[in-house]
Amino acid sequence: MFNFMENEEQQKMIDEATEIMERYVFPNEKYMIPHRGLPAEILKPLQQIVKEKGIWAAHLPKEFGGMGNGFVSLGLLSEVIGQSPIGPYVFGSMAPDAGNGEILYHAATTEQKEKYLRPLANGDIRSCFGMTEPEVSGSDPRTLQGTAVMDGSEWVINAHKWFTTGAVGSAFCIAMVVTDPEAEPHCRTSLFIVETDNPGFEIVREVPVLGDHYPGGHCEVRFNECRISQENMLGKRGEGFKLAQLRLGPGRITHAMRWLGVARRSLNVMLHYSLNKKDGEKRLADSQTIQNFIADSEAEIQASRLLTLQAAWKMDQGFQARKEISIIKFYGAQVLNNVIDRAIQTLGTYGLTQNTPLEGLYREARAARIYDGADEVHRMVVAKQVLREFQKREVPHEPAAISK
Amino acid sequence: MKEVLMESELSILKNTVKSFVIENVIPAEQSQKGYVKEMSEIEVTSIQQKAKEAGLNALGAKKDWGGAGLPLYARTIIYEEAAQHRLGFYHPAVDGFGAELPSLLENCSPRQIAEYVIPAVSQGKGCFIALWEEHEDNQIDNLTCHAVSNGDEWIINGHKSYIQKMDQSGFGIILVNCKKENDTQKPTIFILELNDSFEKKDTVLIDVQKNYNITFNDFRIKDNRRIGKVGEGANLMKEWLAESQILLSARCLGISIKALDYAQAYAKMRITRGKTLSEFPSIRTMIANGFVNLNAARLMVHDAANKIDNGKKDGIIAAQMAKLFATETAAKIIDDCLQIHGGAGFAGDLPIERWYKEIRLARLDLLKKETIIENIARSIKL
Repeated sequence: MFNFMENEEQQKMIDEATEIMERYVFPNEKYMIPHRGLPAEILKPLQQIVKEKGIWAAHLPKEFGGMGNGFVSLGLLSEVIGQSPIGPYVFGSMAPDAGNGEILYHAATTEQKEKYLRPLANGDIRSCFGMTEPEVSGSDPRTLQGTAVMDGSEWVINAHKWFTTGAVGSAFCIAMVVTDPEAEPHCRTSLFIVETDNPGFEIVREVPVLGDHYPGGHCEVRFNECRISQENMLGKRGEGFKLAQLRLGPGRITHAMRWLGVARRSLNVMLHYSLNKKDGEKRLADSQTIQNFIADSEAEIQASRLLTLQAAWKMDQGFQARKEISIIKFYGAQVLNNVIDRAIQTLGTYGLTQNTPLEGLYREARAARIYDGADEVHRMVVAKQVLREFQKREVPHEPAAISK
Repeated sequence: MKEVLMESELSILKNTVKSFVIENVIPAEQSQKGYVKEMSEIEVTSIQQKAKEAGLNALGAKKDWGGAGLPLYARTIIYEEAAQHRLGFYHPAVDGFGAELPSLLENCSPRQIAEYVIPAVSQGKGCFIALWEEHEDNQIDNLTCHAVSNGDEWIINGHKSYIQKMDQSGFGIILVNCKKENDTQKPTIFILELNDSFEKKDTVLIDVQKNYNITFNDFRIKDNRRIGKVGEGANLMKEWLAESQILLSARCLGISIKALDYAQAYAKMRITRGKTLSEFPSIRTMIANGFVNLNAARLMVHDAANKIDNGKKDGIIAAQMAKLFATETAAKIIDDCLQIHGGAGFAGDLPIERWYKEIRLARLDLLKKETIIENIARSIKL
């Protein structure tokens, strides 16, 4: 059975979220501070509105104040709130807190959940995730070098990380470090919850970067003889890689749907401009070149949207959907960049001013082709999977023509 | 024989500029602390002084004006080298060679030359160009800023946007439509002084380039500030556009070379899944394709420069084609270079992040692809 319609509940959620976006989110974007987001006095009341509407933290189950939705619903909401860089903050589902929340929900002990997940889920604190290291390839987390060693009843972490997004202002960091160097590559690392006021946790600097939409920056951090108690291990020893994957799968659905929100918004800017501005005697909208931009963008957005919702649906049915997730990761990220680029091209230099959201979206969007696995890695995953599927089938080899 | 001599002279010039950048510009840039967005005025003055001593200043300005009087072709070679550092794409040699002056200033009266051009050359300052308007950024013939005749002066109303390097200029020029009694619009160029009474507002484009918008409300300007004849302005501006397109293209070659250097070095060093990145066909293809397109772009840039230098009729369209190809090539090379570096490419520790923003601007600056494509189609009578 194929059904491409939102159900009643999903439609209600979309309508309510859309109303909040239009009434409260877009008008407040102008108060956004680069690398810091909205000031708390503006953000907090907006979050309260979302909570009262019951569409807060869609990625989390109801017991932690979330919506307890499936992946399709999560994706549909992400598309709406992703249109604005501040949307996910207002709706309590921003990266990296959303992913951290999911790991905590699945792997944390009851005490850890009460201490860390509950305030995180409520938006009272923020968190960060320390995995990527400057010295080794982020495309291959099996090569991580940071370590944690047992010393009495404590773990001692020594590690150098960067792209620890949101570290400034975070209450805790989930650190992924090697605890079992002799084990199989996938079982070498473990996760730890490190409170950021630990004297061994140092924010070296906020790395200057192309995009500026993430509050708390993309930081370089060091764990210097950082001592933490045994109770702060998250999940089981050696499960670091497995748990990190856990946050990436659903994360890619929300990323891909947020990108579609951004792409749709950029296309809307392009449509509005091309209907209202003239290129010589003609409206831009009457130019075939601009119409090509519009048609290509619409086709790419629709394709990426269906791919993403299909991946989400498969996950809701209990499939891993690894191939589908990888397809939307590299295809969706490219669509995002293509559509914003066409929108800027349509507006000309005006598209690079701060009079439209396009230039900020363009800078931020470039990271999508890198984080959570670069294009090249996901293409490889897809190709290998397609080859495997092909090999599993018996394909009769028939000549293309009858030779005489 | 003359050509051989010419080539050997150019080769010396190229090496001189290369050494100058390595010995003076890059160390000055690296001596700045943190995330370098611009150079301090003291550093720029010091580099300008050294450049002057090396004979590298006011490169395109006529010898009569105190410049080096170099043809465009020679300048493409200089700027390809001078662009090869972090700030070099829009500030080659951190502006140490002084600003380029449009050759249309040759149409200035002797008094204008003495009053505006010669002082600017001697101070290493340039001439800002007030041409584009907020929304009609590609249509010189559709500008709305206009002037009405009033005795021996003109009254200008309207606005101009996206004016680059106003701070480094000694004076400026503006293109306005002059309205005569019969209401025909005649595009005309006037000289602007820095302390003229127009409203000035600065903005930053794509987080990287400071530029200015200026607004005129019944601004009165004497007719003796006019350059060339009334109605001649658009054609003169098109000459400036061609020169600027070629020089921008030459700088595209420079940053492309640097980006490919970074890409190669990183690809050979970075290991993923047990291999260096340079062993993966995807990465090899990105870098090798970059070299193919870079070579093609350079041939187009040199061809266009030679055509303009020799007054060939198709020079204008050759400059546009070179600009289109060089900016698209540099954009792809920089995008691939960023991708090869992953997070390190997104970070501002390397200049790739800056070039990614600047090349997006360059693709729109001085005519965008769609306008150039249409101009090419028209030029072949399609």
